[in-house]
Amino acid sequence: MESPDPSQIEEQEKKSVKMTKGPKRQADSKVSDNGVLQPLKMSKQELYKAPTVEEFNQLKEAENLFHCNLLKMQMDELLKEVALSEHRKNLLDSFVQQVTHLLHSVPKSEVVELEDLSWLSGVEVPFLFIPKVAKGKFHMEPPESINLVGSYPLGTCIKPQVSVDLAVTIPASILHPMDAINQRYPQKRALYLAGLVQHLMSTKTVGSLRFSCLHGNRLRPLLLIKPKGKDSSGVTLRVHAVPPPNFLKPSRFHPRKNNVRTEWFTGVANKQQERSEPPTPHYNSTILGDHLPLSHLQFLSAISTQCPPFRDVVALLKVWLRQRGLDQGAGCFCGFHASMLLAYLLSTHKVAKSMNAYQLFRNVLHFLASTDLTKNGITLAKNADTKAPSIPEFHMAFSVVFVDPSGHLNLCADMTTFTYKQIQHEALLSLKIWDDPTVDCFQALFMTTKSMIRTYDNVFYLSELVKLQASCKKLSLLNELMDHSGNYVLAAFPFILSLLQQGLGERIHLLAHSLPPDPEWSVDSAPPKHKDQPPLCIGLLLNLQHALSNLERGPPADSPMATEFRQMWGSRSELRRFQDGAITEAVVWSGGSACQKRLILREIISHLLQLHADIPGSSVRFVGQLDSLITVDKENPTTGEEESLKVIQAYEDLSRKLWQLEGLPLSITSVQGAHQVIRCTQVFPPVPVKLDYSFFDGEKNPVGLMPKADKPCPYYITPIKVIVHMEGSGKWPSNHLAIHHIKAAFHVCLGELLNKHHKYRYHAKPTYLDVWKDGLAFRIHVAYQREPQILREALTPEGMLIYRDNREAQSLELETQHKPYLTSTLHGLQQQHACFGAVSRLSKRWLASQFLLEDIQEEPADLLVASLFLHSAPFDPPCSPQVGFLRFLYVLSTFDWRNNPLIVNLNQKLTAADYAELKKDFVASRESLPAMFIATPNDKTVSVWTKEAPSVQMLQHAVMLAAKSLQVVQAQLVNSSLKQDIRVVFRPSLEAFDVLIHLVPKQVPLLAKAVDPPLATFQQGVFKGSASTERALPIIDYDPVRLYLSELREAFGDLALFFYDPFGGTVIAVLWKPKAFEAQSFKTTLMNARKVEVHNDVVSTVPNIEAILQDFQLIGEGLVKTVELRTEKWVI
Amino acid sequence: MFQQFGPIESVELCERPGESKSSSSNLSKLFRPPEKYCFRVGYVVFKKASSVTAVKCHPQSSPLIVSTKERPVKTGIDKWIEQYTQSVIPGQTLQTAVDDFMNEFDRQKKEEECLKVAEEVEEEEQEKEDEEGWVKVKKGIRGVKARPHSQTANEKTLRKEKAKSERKELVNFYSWQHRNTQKEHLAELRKKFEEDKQKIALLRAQRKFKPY
Repeated sequence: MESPDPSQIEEQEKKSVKMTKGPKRQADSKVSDNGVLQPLKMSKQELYKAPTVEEFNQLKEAENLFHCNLLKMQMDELLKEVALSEHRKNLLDSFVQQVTHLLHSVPKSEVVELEDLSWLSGVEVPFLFIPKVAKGKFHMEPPESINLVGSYPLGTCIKPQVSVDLAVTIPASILHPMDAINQRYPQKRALYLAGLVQHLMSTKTVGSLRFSCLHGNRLRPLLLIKPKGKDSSGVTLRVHAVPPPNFLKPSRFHPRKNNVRTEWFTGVANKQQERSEPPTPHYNSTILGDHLPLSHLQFLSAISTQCPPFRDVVALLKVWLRQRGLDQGAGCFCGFHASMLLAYLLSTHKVAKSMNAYQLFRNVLHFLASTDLTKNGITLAKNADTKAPSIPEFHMAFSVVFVDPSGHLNLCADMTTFTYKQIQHEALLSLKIWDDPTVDCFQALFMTTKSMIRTYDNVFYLSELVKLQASCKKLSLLNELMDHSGNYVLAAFPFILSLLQQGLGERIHLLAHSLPPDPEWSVDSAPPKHKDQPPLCIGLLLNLQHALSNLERGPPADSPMATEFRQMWGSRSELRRFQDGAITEAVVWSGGSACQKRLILREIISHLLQLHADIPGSSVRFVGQLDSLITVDKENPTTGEEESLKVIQAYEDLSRKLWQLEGLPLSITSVQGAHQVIRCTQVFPPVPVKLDYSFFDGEKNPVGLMPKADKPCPYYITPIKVIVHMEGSGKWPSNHLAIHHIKAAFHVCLGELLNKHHKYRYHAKPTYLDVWKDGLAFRIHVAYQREPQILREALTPEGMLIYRDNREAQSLELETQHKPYLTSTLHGLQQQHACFGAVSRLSKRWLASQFLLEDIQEEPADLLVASLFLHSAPFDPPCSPQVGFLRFLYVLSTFDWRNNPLIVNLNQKLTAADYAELKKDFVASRESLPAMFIATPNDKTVSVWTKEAPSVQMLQHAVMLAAKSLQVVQAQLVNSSLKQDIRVVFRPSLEAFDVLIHLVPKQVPLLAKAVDPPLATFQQGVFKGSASTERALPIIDYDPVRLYLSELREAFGDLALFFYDPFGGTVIAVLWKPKAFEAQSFKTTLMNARKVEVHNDVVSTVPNIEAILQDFQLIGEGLVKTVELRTEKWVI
Repeated sequence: MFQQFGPIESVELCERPGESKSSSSNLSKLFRPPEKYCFRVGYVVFKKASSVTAVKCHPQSSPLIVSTKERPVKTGIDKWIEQYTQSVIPGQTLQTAVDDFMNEFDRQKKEEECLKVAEEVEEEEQEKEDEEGWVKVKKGIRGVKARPHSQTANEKTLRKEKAKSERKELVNFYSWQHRNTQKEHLAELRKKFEEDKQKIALLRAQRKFKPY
């Protein structure tokens, strides 16, 4: 990068503080080497010195732009990054000169028939002769002129993929005034290019030569030339062959006129001569477009010289468009369109020439967002000549209308309505981001690539494009086919899209599609066929209110619209009588649970495509197979939404019953759920079960059932935590031990009352009360509001009561205050965004399977997922589990945890000022804060959920895993040919671990939920369904693996790390700590699991590995199958 | 196990070496914090000194094993099942434990109160005129406006006082005040500007401006 000598800049700075000149100096020195933001320290003198006029103005400007000031500076940096360097420009200039020189020396050749290709050798004509070669004569001749056109001479060319357009004018002698008819001109143009290639190949002074075509239009082939040698990367010369300007009259290309005869195209003699030929607007605009590049360049350069920031704005727009995948392919909105649009805004005085780049860019976005070019086209023509078509005429022929300065050409001829709607949507979204002071809008606007798969809720691919030929037939699109010169993909695609739009209706917010990419092929091979294109990708943004409804209600049976409806849906449409008495046409789709309902859209799409476009279901590929990972019930597929709901209902019932209890010494002031399932984010929500009494030991203990040693591990029953606050009263003692006992007494009392009134089985413990209700276990904790406060109390020697924070008080506060609050807030979020729970569960499943759930625990994971919904910029909030999961991985892997707090603005309680303060505090005390800092409105400074874990190393590990997983999943989803299973990212790599403890599957309670569940399952002592009354209390919260893990950690936590997948994992992975094997000097306090060694009179101790490994086995007697040593990495 | 070295007087186990704490808490075992599962240090007190030397001579390579065929130590699944079984207790047991503690607690409290009352009575006695008509005067207590006795109350009063003094002050009354606010404003802007620049520099260092 261009970074001048620092001392030099320092001097410059003293003279004038100009923002753009060098905002680096002092700042640079303050950024420490490891890339951590340090708090800014400025001396008083520096802060209070008298300002110079420039500085004052500059500060004033910054103040006016306030939160955008940073954005402005970032934009400047971005522009520097994408601008072409002088060196590169010089290279390009000389290369262009060289090529120009070469092209001028093309030899003249004899006149031959068009069909005769014998003069060409080693070069294939870059043209698909559909239906056949036209009649005419052709010969080679040096070009009339060669000009630079497009972005390079305008100065709007940006890195990377620098392409310079070179317009080679075909001499008039080759062409004939009637060439516009029946593809004769395009064919000659292609031949001319082939001739140029032949000449260039013979000279052997340029690098690679390839063919491509302009915006996917096969009638406009391009020659791509790369320079020889090292500079070839990233620089391309695109040679366009164009006719002499004004060679053909523009009025001949009126969108209502025909230039391709049906007879010629079909090969069938038209019997009815008098019938008028259909218009060919796209063909016409193709040929007309070839005439105009030079005049467009003149027009644009005239405008850009008047408005200095023109180039910058276009460059910004180009980056913006590119990140959204809109700038390439057929029907794109490329840099050329962007410059034309800006020119339009300038020439119609919608923006002022004196505006800066920042304001202009914003105005362009605003214009795009607010103007619908599909309805109200715009024109650049000042005083159009009378022969030019009118705007309504353009609208009849094209879906998007933007007329060029000549008044004859529609610049957006190939664009579909859907692409324009997508642009509008993006522009609107960007403006919204921009106006939100709490978002890092630079990142969202310019730096985030919005790939289809991460942007849209549902994505599907149309492969086997050859099938579209059949659809053309089915939809009877002969005229369109002729217009697109036989490109059946482009001819049929808009119709298929509008069909889908019509069918999906209000189920979706937006239907977007990938633009068919520009093909590229080598000069000695035939051009690729239309069917060889990569699959077309279609993305949907869902409207969750309607998207998953089973019913498509049509018009009443007797209305005229009914026929239309029946036609649309075919045999699926049937007459139905509704509860309100109406008899209407309707389509009903099957699907009970949420995960089945998510498949309705697929069904609709395949049905419509099959019915109307003859596209078989096999060539439509839907992306997404992730639901199966969180499937709760295999036989009747559900992904936990319904189960969570049932649990919540049971909880609400319990809560009501608690409120109604009478006979308590103190009244209840609140009942709050504090368990994940209450916020719908438990990976596998508990399901009501009935007990098989023979399975358990019922005799030993009168209170409840006990596990039997000879049976497999019993079914794991999750206790659902509920916090019950009791009224404050003077009767509460002020001694915490006494409070503890009182709470225990409450547990007993509550349990007895519940049993008396509702016959619930209960089990009271000092710290909680388990209640067995309808096949679910609730764990009630009684809490006293003032208890944390009492724990903090201390007396100073002066007798003053002060509050000292301590760990005990904090953890109590976490359990009884933060957790219930978070649960209810996130439950609210679930009500707003129906798929929050599913995304969270999928994400946590991933975390668990990669052994990360112990470090990034449930609550921070939930908050991270919540941030995807609350701060989705630059995307829309996710509406399907899959897209949410992909974004979760993306955020986890790309967020700059070191320099930024993740702020989750729950309930929109934080203001912009809060944000600023939060960030400031964060930078000021970064060192002492946890590695992963998540701030919420209730917790601005501490990040309670991530205080203990993850450590910096584990976070780093998680970030790496997330990045890798994202890469793999995306590749899997996009490319169907990859044979690997999607579950591969849910299988941890065990290579890095030192010891693997394999467990006996029979003793793993959640075995059936494993990522790869075993074929044979075993009896766990339960039946499905809930029983109304139970004889005995079941075994609650008994998980031998967890007990084993905690014992291992307590005993060997200082020597090794233990990893385990809590959802049915059968392996505990052990990693020795790096310092575990170091010998240490003998100390009586440090003898745990160590043995004494004496070397040269120095007594030291080393860990006793054999004993430790034996202990692994011994502690887990009956649970551990084998302890596998991987001795290659460490030696005993 | 250690009996092979000689008769034993007592054995004590604790988590870390050091003086043994007399853990003679009379808490019911239900309310004690769970014991940590970890390595422990054992103190074996022998009756005879000769046993200690015998232990010292024991070779390191042959470990002493606690769990034997005759008296096995339960581990693994068996142990966890036992743990679970023992953890399930009837409500009655818990209730009695609570009642016992509370009775004890109430008794203690009553005693304390009695003591306090006795003290107060004594103090008041002292303040009364004695036989010679003298009154013992103590420091503070009466008449003096004492600071509040808890932290929150203290902070509250401080805040109030501050607010009061601020209310009395005039803002932008003198020209120097006005100048000062302007200066402060400018300084703030400058600071913000510098901060932004610092951020940019950091992002540049991280090559965060490459869009693709």
